[in-house]
Amino acid sequence: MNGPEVLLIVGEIIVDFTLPLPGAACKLRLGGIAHAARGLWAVDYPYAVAAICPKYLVEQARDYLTAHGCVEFIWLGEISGSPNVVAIGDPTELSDQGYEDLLRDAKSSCIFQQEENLNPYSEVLVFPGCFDLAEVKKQFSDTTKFSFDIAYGIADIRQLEIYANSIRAIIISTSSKLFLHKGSGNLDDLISELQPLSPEVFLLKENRGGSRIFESGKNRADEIPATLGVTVNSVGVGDVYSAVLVAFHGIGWPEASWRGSRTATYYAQTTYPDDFKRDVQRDFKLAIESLRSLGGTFLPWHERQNFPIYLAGPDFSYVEKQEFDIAADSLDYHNFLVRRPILENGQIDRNSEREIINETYELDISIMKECAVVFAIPLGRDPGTLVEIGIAIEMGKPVITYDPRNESNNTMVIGGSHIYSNNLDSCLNGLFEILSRLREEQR
Amino acid sequence: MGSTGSGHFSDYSGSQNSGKSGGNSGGSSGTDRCHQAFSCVLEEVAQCDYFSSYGTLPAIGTQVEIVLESRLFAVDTSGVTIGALPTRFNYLAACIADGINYIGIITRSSTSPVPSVSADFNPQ
Repeated sequence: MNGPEVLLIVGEIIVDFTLPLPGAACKLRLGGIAHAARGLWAVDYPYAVAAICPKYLVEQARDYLTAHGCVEFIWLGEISGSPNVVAIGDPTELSDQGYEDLLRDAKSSCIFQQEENLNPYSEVLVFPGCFDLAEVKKQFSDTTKFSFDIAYGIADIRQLEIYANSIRAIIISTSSKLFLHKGSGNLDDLISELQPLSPEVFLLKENRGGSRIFESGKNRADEIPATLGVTVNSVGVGDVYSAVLVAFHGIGWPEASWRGSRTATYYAQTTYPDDFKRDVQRDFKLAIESLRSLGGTFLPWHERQNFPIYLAGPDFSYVEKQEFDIAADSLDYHNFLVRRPILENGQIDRNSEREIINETYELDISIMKECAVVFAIPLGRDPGTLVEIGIAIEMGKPVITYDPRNESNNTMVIGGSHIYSNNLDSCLNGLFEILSRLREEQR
Repeated sequence: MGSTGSGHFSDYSGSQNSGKSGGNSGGSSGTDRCHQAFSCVLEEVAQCDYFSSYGTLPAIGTQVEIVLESRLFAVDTSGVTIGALPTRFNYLAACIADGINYIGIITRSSTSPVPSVSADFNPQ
């Protein structure tokens, strides 16, 4: 009996270097399609690699991937002018991860003409990058089925037109510039643009909010919730999802999505390959029905604005508040509608007249009433934020208190908050969970 | 002056974490959360069978274990559900599927002001 069909992964191999942060050491590892490769290795799915990378990386990449289940390594093209090294500032994707692709403006590539050895591969997953997709297409037979993760490397969907009618899956992420440009406001526009390509399926990965898979011929999307936990390193997590999805599409797209999503979750929680594989292998022992019943967090990108967030904190121009600003950026990045009362109603002088103070108070309260949750960031001597927390509790609004300086470690603050933490990642997860529940209750 | 953790690709499966490089090197962290003890406050205690049936809660020191039904529940030795585990412990479902059992002891039990139970669990 034949085993599963070997999946060929095509794309760049990059060196990912996560910069050291307070409390977290640096991390050097192979990135690009190596992330997808680790995912397939962890689920014991046979794969091969057609890599585009600088010459200096070829032997190291071949050695590494061969040691992790790769059945064939093909050097498909060379990157010149750049070391293909990406420095990563924020590995947890609290906000834009701030990738720094070194010497990217000087980067170029050349695809090598292969002697027949790509022809046998009939199932191919492409991660576009700095290489010519038309040159890649020439290497394969007419019956090859292609899937594309277009989170990066595609500026215009029309670049895929040459692959029309031979596309298995098109996958995109909400962190992609292409998505922000084409699908952030209205997903239907993006889906309409994909129609001429006739993909079997379209997957939208929505970060901590889960994912949606749209199958051709089905009226509605299947919703795959996220399983939130402590994020150690989110780089490449989406690639793992894509690889496992495509590899297991034979069991049905929704089920394959569950497996992909769960495998990606484990990838985010460790950078140790053996820990990753152990956790994934355990997870595969759970039936899909068990996974469904355990559920998770689902909050689609396009519905997040329906749940306005009252951002309580010392949002004053004269206050040192970098933690506040980082949190605000993070909420924006995840497409939440953030209401900032001090920005909306104005920053009043400390010695303002009582009437102005009263009016501002009432305006702030009216904003809070319009919000679904309160995200509080008490910093320094800030009684205003603590009062806002109290008012929100009395209003019955969920409160998430992010206390980065541990200055409000108090019974009433902790007891009254749904989430209380000095860790923004935990607060963000808590926010997604609360809004996911609110969304479910409203349905 | 030297640099740490970036001299070579060290995250090979099966390789040892040298602990000297300064980076997160090696194939395994050496830890496994499935094999770690934990404490938790149970959820939905008032809706679970124990409180619904008896109108009270198990005493401190009562032995409990975790079972996977529609979600993860703590049950007594007769299998009566006492409370649900918070969803952040959902990773235990895969641990249980892998054959690890979790036996616990009730550490706090109170019916007032709201039914509330806490427990410590150990992997077996």
